[in-house]
Amino acid sequence: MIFLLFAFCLGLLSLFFFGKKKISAPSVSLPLPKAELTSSLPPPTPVGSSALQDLENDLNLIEADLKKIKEDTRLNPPEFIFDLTAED
Amino acid sequence: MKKISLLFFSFFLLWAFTNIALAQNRTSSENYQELLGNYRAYQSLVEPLNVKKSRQATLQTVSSQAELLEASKNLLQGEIKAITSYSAFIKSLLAEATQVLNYRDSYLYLRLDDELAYLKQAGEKASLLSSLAEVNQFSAELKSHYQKLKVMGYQIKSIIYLESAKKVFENLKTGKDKLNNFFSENKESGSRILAAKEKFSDLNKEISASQDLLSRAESSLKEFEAGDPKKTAEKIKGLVDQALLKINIILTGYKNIAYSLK
Repeated sequence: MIFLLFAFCLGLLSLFFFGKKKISAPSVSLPLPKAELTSSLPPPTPVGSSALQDLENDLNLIEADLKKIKEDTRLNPPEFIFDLTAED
Repeated sequence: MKKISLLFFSFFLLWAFTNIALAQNRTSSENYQELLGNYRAYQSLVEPLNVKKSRQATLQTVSSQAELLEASKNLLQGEIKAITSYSAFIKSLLAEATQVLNYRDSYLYLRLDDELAYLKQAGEKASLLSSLAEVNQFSAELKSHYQKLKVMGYQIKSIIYLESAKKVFENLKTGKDKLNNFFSENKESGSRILAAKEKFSDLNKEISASQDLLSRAESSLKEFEAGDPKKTAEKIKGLVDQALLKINIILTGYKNIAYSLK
Protein backbone atom coordinates (compact mmCIF):
# COMPACT_ATOMS: atom_id res chain seq x y z
CA MET A 1 0.00 0.00 0.00
CA ILE A 2 2.79 2.35 1.00
CA PHE A 3 4.69 1.32 -2.11
CA LEU A 4 1.68 2.14 -4.29
CA LEU A 5 1.33 5.59 -2.69
CA PHE A 6 5.06 6.24 -3.22
CA ALA A 7 4.82 5.22 -6.88
CA PHE A 8 1.79 7.51 -7.38
CA CYS A 9 3.61 10.53 -5.88
CA LEU A 10 6.68 9.79 -8.00
CA GLY A 11 4.52 9.65 -11.10
CA LEU A 12 2.93 12.98 -10.23
CA LEU A 13 6.30 14.62 -9.66
CA SER A 14 7.66 13.35 -12.98
CA LEU A 15 4.57 14.68 -14.74
CA PHE A 16 5.07 18.12 -13.21
CA PHE A 17 8.74 18.12 -14.17
CA PHE A 18 8.29 17.13 -17.83
CA GLY A 19 5.07 19.05 -18.22
CA LYS A 20 6.62 22.27 -16.97
CA LYS A 21 9.56 21.84 -19.29
CA LYS A 22 7.26 21.41 -22.27
CA ILE A 23 5.23 24.57 -21.53
CA SER A 24 8.26 26.75 -21.09
CA ALA A 25 9.87 25.51 -24.31
CA PRO A 26 10.11 28.55 -26.62
CA SER A 27 10.39 26.59 -29.82
CA VAL A 28 6.96 25.01 -29.40
CA SER A 29 5.05 28.22 -30.30
CA LEU A 30 3.96 28.12 -33.91
CA PRO A 31 5.64 30.73 -36.06
CA LEU A 32 3.32 32.41 -38.60
CA PRO A 33 4.37 32.97 -42.16
CA LYS A 34 5.91 36.46 -42.51
CA ALA A 35 3.46 37.80 -45.09
CA GLU A 36 0.43 36.82 -43.00
CA LEU A 37 1.97 38.34 -39.90
CA THR A 38 2.30 41.69 -41.61
CA SER A 39 -1.28 41.73 -42.81
CA SER A 40 -2.69 40.65 -39.45
CA LEU A 41 -0.64 43.12 -37.46
CA PRO A 42 -2.83 45.16 -35.18
CA PRO A 43 -2.65 48.93 -35.78
CA PRO A 44 0.03 50.67 -33.72
CA THR A 45 -2.60 52.36 -31.58
CA PRO A 46 -5.69 50.18 -31.47
CA VAL A 47 -7.64 52.61 -29.22
CA GLY A 48 -6.89 55.55 -31.54
CA SER A 49 -8.02 53.59 -34.56
CA SER A 50 -11.45 52.94 -33.06
CA ALA A 51 -11.59 56.62 -32.17
CA LEU A 52 -10.88 57.45 -35.80
CA GLN A 53 -13.68 55.12 -36.91
CA ASP A 54 -16.05 56.86 -34.47
CA LEU A 55 -14.90 60.21 -35.79
CA GLU A 56 -15.47 59.13 -39.38
CA ASN A 57 -19.02 58.04 -38.49
CA ASP A 58 -19.64 61.38 -36.76
CA LEU A 59 -18.31 63.27 -39.78
CA ASN A 60 -20.63 61.32 -42.08
CA LEU A 61 -23.59 62.30 -39.90
CA ILE A 62 -22.48 65.95 -39.92
CA GLU A 63 -22.18 65.80 -43.71
CA ALA A 64 -25.74 64.46 -43.97
CA ASP A 65 -26.97 67.30 -41.70
CA LEU A 66 -25.06 69.86 -43.76
CA LYS A 67 -26.75 68.70 -46.95
CA LYS A 68 -30.16 69.17 -45.28
CA ILE A 69 -29.61 72.88 -44.60
CA LYS A 70 -31.64 74.74 -47.20
CA GLU A 71 -33.16 78.21 -47.19
CA ASP A 72 -36.94 77.87 -46.78
CA THR A 73 -38.26 80.24 -49.44
CA ARG A 74 -41.85 79.39 -48.44
CA LEU A 75 -41.31 81.82 -45.57
CA ASN A 76 -40.96 84.76 -47.95
CA PRO A 77 -43.99 86.94 -47.24
CA PRO A 78 -46.49 87.15 -50.13
CA GLU A 79 -47.32 90.53 -51.66
CA PHE A 80 -50.66 92.23 -51.02
CA ILE A 81 -52.35 95.38 -52.32
CA PHE A 82 -53.35 97.88 -49.65
CA ASP A 83 -54.20 100.99 -51.72
CA LEU A 84 -57.57 99.62 -52.73
CA THR A 85 -59.41 102.66 -54.02
CA ALA A 86 -56.45 104.62 -55.41
CA GLU A 87 -56.40 104.94 -59.21
CA ASP A 88 -53.78 102.89 -61.13
CA MET B 1 -87.79 69.98 -26.77
CA LYS B 2 -85.40 71.32 -24.14
CA LYS B 3 -83.43 68.06 -24.21
CA ILE B 4 -83.12 68.14 -28.00
CA SER B 5 -81.81 71.73 -27.93
CA LEU B 6 -79.31 70.77 -25.25
CA LEU B 7 -78.17 67.81 -27.36
CA PHE B 8 -77.71 70.05 -30.44
CA PHE B 9 -75.81 72.60 -28.39
CA SER B 10 -73.51 69.85 -27.04
CA PHE B 11 -72.87 68.61 -30.59
CA PHE B 12 -72.08 72.16 -31.71
CA LEU B 13 -69.60 72.64 -28.87
CA LEU B 14 -67.93 69.32 -29.67
CA TRP B 15 -67.66 70.28 -33.36
CA ALA B 16 -66.25 73.71 -32.52
CA PHE B 17 -63.61 72.36 -30.12
CA THR B 18 -62.59 69.61 -32.57
CA ASN B 19 -62.12 72.23 -35.29
CA ILE B 20 -59.99 74.43 -33.01
CA ALA B 21 -57.87 71.45 -31.93
CA LEU B 22 -57.36 70.32 -35.52
CA ALA B 23 -56.40 73.84 -36.63
CA GLN B 24 -53.81 74.08 -33.84
CA ASN B 25 -52.28 70.69 -34.65
CA ARG B 26 -51.84 71.30 -38.38
CA THR B 27 -48.35 70.76 -39.71
CA SER B 28 -46.47 73.55 -41.47
CA SER B 29 -46.92 71.73 -44.81
CA GLU B 30 -50.68 71.62 -44.32
CA ASN B 31 -50.71 75.28 -43.35
CA TYR B 32 -48.60 76.13 -46.40
CA GLN B 33 -51.07 74.33 -48.69
CA GLU B 34 -53.89 76.33 -47.10
CA LEU B 35 -51.90 79.53 -47.62
CA LEU B 36 -51.42 78.72 -51.31
CA GLY B 37 -55.15 78.11 -51.71
CA ASN B 38 -56.15 81.29 -49.88
CA TYR B 39 -53.56 83.39 -51.72
CA ARG B 40 -54.87 82.14 -55.08
CA ALA B 41 -58.40 82.99 -53.95
CA TYR B 42 -57.19 86.48 -52.96
CA GLN B 43 -55.48 86.99 -56.34
CA SER B 44 -58.70 86.09 -58.14
CA LEU B 45 -60.35 89.08 -56.40
CA VAL B 46 -57.82 91.63 -57.67
CA GLU B 47 -59.08 91.79 -61.27
CA PRO B 48 -62.77 92.34 -60.32
CA LEU B 49 -61.64 95.20 -58.03
CA ASN B 50 -59.67 96.81 -60.89
CA VAL B 51 -62.74 96.60 -63.15
CA LYS B 52 -64.89 98.33 -60.51
CA LYS B 53 -62.20 100.97 -59.97
CA SER B 54 -62.18 101.77 -63.69
CA ARG B 55 -65.99 101.92 -63.76
CA GLN B 56 -66.03 104.28 -60.79
CA ALA B 57 -63.31 106.47 -62.36
CA THR B 58 -65.33 106.73 -65.59
CA LEU B 59 -68.92 106.85 -64.35
CA GLN B 60 -68.69 108.41 -60.87
CA THR B 61 -72.23 107.21 -60.05
CA VAL B 62 -73.73 106.00 -56.77
CA SER B 63 -74.10 102.56 -58.30
CA SER B 64 -70.46 102.34 -59.45
CA GLN B 65 -69.31 103.59 -56.03
CA ALA B 66 -71.41 100.92 -54.27
CA GLU B 67 -69.94 98.26 -56.56
CA LEU B 68 -66.43 99.47 -55.79
CA LEU B 69 -67.17 99.37 -52.04
CA GLU B 70 -68.42 95.79 -52.34
CA ALA B 71 -65.41 94.67 -54.41
CA SER B 72 -63.02 96.37 -51.93
CA LYS B 73 -64.65 94.62 -48.97
CA ASN B 74 -64.42 91.28 -50.80
CA LEU B 75 -60.76 91.84 -51.51
CA LEU B 76 -60.07 92.81 -47.89
CA GLN B 77 -61.79 89.64 -46.66
CA GLY B 78 -59.66 87.54 -49.02
CA GLU B 79 -56.57 89.44 -47.95
CA ILE B 80 -57.25 88.86 -44.24
CA LYS B 81 -57.81 85.15 -44.88
CA ALA B 82 -54.51 84.81 -46.78
CA ILE B 83 -52.57 86.85 -44.19
CA THR B 84 -54.06 84.67 -41.42
CA SER B 85 -52.89 81.56 -43.29
CA TYR B 86 -49.40 83.04 -43.65
CA SER B 87 -49.29 83.79 -39.90
CA ALA B 88 -50.46 80.27 -39.03
CA PHE B 89 -47.86 78.83 -41.42
CA ILE B 90 -44.88 80.71 -39.95
CA LYS B 91 -46.08 79.93 -36.42
CA SER B 92 -46.29 76.18 -37.14
CA LEU B 93 -42.88 76.23 -38.82
CA LEU B 94 -41.41 77.97 -35.78
CA ALA B 95 -42.98 75.30 -33.54
CA GLU B 96 -41.46 72.54 -35.68
CA ALA B 97 -38.02 74.16 -35.49
CA THR B 98 -37.86 74.03 -31.66
CA GLN B 99 -35.37 71.16 -31.96
CA VAL B 100 -32.99 73.69 -33.47
CA LEU B 101 -34.12 76.78 -31.59
CA ASN B 102 -34.67 75.33 -28.08
CA TYR B 103 -37.51 77.76 -27.40
CA ARG B 104 -34.95 80.61 -27.53
CA ASP B 105 -37.19 82.72 -29.69
CA SER B 106 -40.45 82.05 -27.87
CA TYR B 107 -41.26 85.79 -27.81
CA LEU B 108 -42.07 85.44 -31.51
CA TYR B 109 -44.94 83.08 -30.62
CA LEU B 110 -46.47 85.72 -28.39
CA ARG B 111 -46.18 88.37 -31.10
CA LEU B 112 -47.69 86.00 -33.67
CA ASP B 113 -50.56 85.21 -31.31
CA ASP B 114 -51.23 88.95 -30.94
CA GLU B 115 -51.34 89.36 -34.72
CA LEU B 116 -53.61 86.31 -35.13
CA ALA B 117 -55.99 87.78 -32.52
CA TYR B 118 -56.01 91.09 -34.44
CA LEU B 119 -56.70 89.31 -37.75
CA LYS B 120 -59.65 87.46 -36.24
CA GLN B 121 -61.22 90.77 -35.22
CA ALA B 122 -60.24 92.37 -38.52
CA GLY B 123 -62.31 89.84 -40.47
CA GLU B 124 -65.42 90.89 -38.56
CA LYS B 125 -64.56 94.58 -38.86
CA ALA B 126 -64.06 94.39 -42.64
CA SER B 127 -67.58 93.07 -43.18
CA LEU B 128 -68.99 96.16 -41.40
CA LEU B 129 -67.19 98.81 -43.51
CA SER B 130 -69.72 101.23 -44.96
CA SER B 131 -67.75 103.74 -47.06
CA LEU B 132 -64.69 104.01 -49.30
CA ALA B 133 -63.11 106.31 -46.71
CA GLU B 134 -63.50 103.60 -44.06
CA VAL B 135 -62.06 101.06 -46.51
CA ASN B 136 -58.93 103.18 -46.98
CA GLN B 137 -58.52 103.73 -43.25
CA PHE B 138 -58.97 100.05 -42.49
CA SER B 139 -56.62 99.04 -45.31
CA ALA B 140 -53.88 101.30 -43.91
CA GLU B 141 -54.33 99.68 -40.47
CA LEU B 142 -54.12 96.19 -42.00
CA LYS B 143 -50.99 97.22 -43.90
CA SER B 144 -49.21 98.27 -40.69
CA HIS B 145 -50.03 94.90 -39.09
CA TYR B 146 -48.84 93.05 -42.18
CA GLN B 147 -45.55 94.96 -42.05
CA LYS B 148 -44.96 93.47 -38.59
CA LEU B 149 -45.79 89.98 -39.89
CA LYS B 150 -43.43 90.43 -42.84
CA VAL B 151 -40.60 91.28 -40.42
CA MET B 152 -41.42 88.19 -38.34
CA GLY B 153 -41.52 86.01 -41.48
CA TYR B 154 -38.05 87.10 -42.60
CA GLN B 155 -36.81 86.93 -39.00
CA ILE B 156 -38.00 83.32 -38.56
CA LYS B 157 -36.49 82.38 -41.92
CA SER B 158 -33.10 83.81 -40.90
CA ILE B 159 -33.17 82.35 -37.39
CA ILE B 160 -33.93 78.81 -38.61
CA TYR B 161 -31.23 79.02 -41.30
CA LEU B 162 -28.62 80.41 -38.91
CA GLU B 163 -29.42 78.04 -36.03
CA SER B 164 -29.28 75.00 -38.34
CA ALA B 165 -25.81 76.07 -39.48
CA LYS B 166 -24.75 76.71 -35.87
CA LYS B 167 -25.87 73.23 -34.84
CA VAL B 168 -23.79 71.62 -37.59
CA PHE B 169 -20.84 73.84 -36.65
CA GLU B 170 -21.05 72.77 -32.98
CA ASN B 171 -21.01 69.11 -34.03
CA LEU B 172 -18.02 69.83 -36.23
CA LYS B 173 -16.21 71.39 -33.27
CA THR B 174 -16.79 68.14 -31.33
CA GLY B 175 -15.16 66.35 -34.26
CA LYS B 176 -12.26 68.78 -34.04
CA ASP B 177 -11.85 68.01 -30.31
CA LYS B 178 -11.82 64.27 -31.03
CA LEU B 179 -9.10 64.72 -33.65
CA ASN B 180 -7.18 66.94 -31.27
CA ASN B 181 -7.33 64.20 -28.59
CA PHE B 182 -6.14 61.66 -31.11
CA PHE B 183 -3.10 63.76 -31.95
CA SER B 184 -2.36 64.40 -28.24
CA GLU B 185 -2.43 60.67 -27.45
CA ASN B 186 -0.53 59.61 -30.55
CA LYS B 187 3.17 60.38 -30.16
CA GLU B 188 4.26 58.94 -33.49
CA SER B 189 6.40 61.04 -35.77
CA GLY B 190 5.83 59.34 -39.14
CA SER B 191 5.51 61.57 -42.20
CA ARG B 192 1.82 60.69 -42.57
CA ILE B 193 0.90 61.78 -39.07
CA LEU B 194 3.02 64.92 -39.33
CA ALA B 195 1.27 65.87 -42.57
CA ALA B 196 -2.10 65.18 -40.92
CA LYS B 197 -1.19 67.42 -37.99
CA GLU B 198 -0.22 70.22 -40.37
CA LYS B 199 -3.48 69.89 -42.31
CA PHE B 200 -5.41 69.85 -39.03
CA SER B 201 -3.67 73.05 -37.94
CA ASP B 202 -4.54 74.75 -41.26
CA LEU B 203 -8.18 73.70 -40.94
CA ASN B 204 -8.36 75.22 -37.45
CA LYS B 205 -7.92 78.64 -39.09
CA GLU B 206 -11.04 77.92 -41.14
CA ILE B 207 -12.87 77.05 -37.90
CA SER B 208 -12.12 80.53 -36.56
CA ALA B 209 -13.24 82.11 -39.84
CA SER B 210 -16.54 80.16 -39.77
CA GLN B 211 -17.12 81.12 -36.15
CA ASP B 212 -16.58 84.77 -37.06
CA LEU B 213 -19.08 84.61 -39.97
CA LEU B 214 -21.73 82.94 -37.79
CA SER B 215 -21.22 85.53 -35.04
CA ARG B 216 -21.63 88.34 -37.58
CA ALA B 217 -24.84 86.72 -38.85
CA GLU B 218 -26.11 86.45 -35.26
CA SER B 219 -25.37 90.14 -34.61
CA SER B 220 -27.20 91.09 -37.81
CA LEU B 221 -30.44 89.63 -36.37
CA LYS B 222 -30.73 92.87 -34.37
CA GLU B 223 -31.12 94.77 -37.65
CA PHE B 224 -34.65 93.35 -37.98
CA GLU B 225 -35.77 95.83 -35.32
CA ALA B 226 -35.18 98.67 -37.80
CA GLY B 227 -34.40 98.69 -41.48
CA ASP B 228 -35.47 96.65 -44.47
CA PRO B 229 -36.27 93.06 -43.31
CA LYS B 230 -35.73 91.59 -46.78
CA LYS B 231 -32.25 93.10 -47.07
CA THR B 232 -31.37 91.99 -43.53
CA ALA B 233 -32.48 88.43 -44.32
CA GLU B 234 -30.37 88.48 -47.51
CA LYS B 235 -27.34 89.76 -45.57
CA ILE B 236 -27.71 87.00 -42.94
CA LYS B 237 -28.13 84.35 -45.65
CA GLY B 238 -24.96 85.59 -47.36
CA LEU B 239 -22.94 85.32 -44.14
CA VAL B 240 -24.34 81.88 -43.26
CA ASP B 241 -23.68 80.64 -46.81
CA GLN B 242 -20.03 81.72 -46.52
CA ALA B 243 -19.78 79.92 -43.16
CA LEU B 244 -21.37 76.78 -44.66
CA LEU B 245 -18.82 76.77 -47.47
CA LYS B 246 -16.01 76.87 -44.91
CA ILE B 247 -17.70 74.19 -42.80
CA ASN B 248 -17.83 71.98 -45.89
CA ILE B 249 -14.09 72.52 -46.51
CA ILE B 250 -13.27 71.66 -42.88
CA LEU B 251 -15.50 68.58 -43.00
CA THR B 252 -13.83 67.29 -46.18
CA GLY B 253 -10.42 67.97 -44.60
CA TYR B 254 -11.27 66.11 -41.38
CA LYS B 255 -12.64 63.17 -43.35
CA ASN B 256 -9.43 63.05 -45.34
CA ILE B 257 -7.33 63.12 -42.14
CA ALA B 258 -9.39 60.35 -40.49
CA TYR B 259 -9.25 58.21 -43.63
CA SER B 260 -5.47 58.60 -44.10
CA LEU B 261 -4.70 57.72 -40.46
CA LYS B 262 -6.87 54.60 -40.26
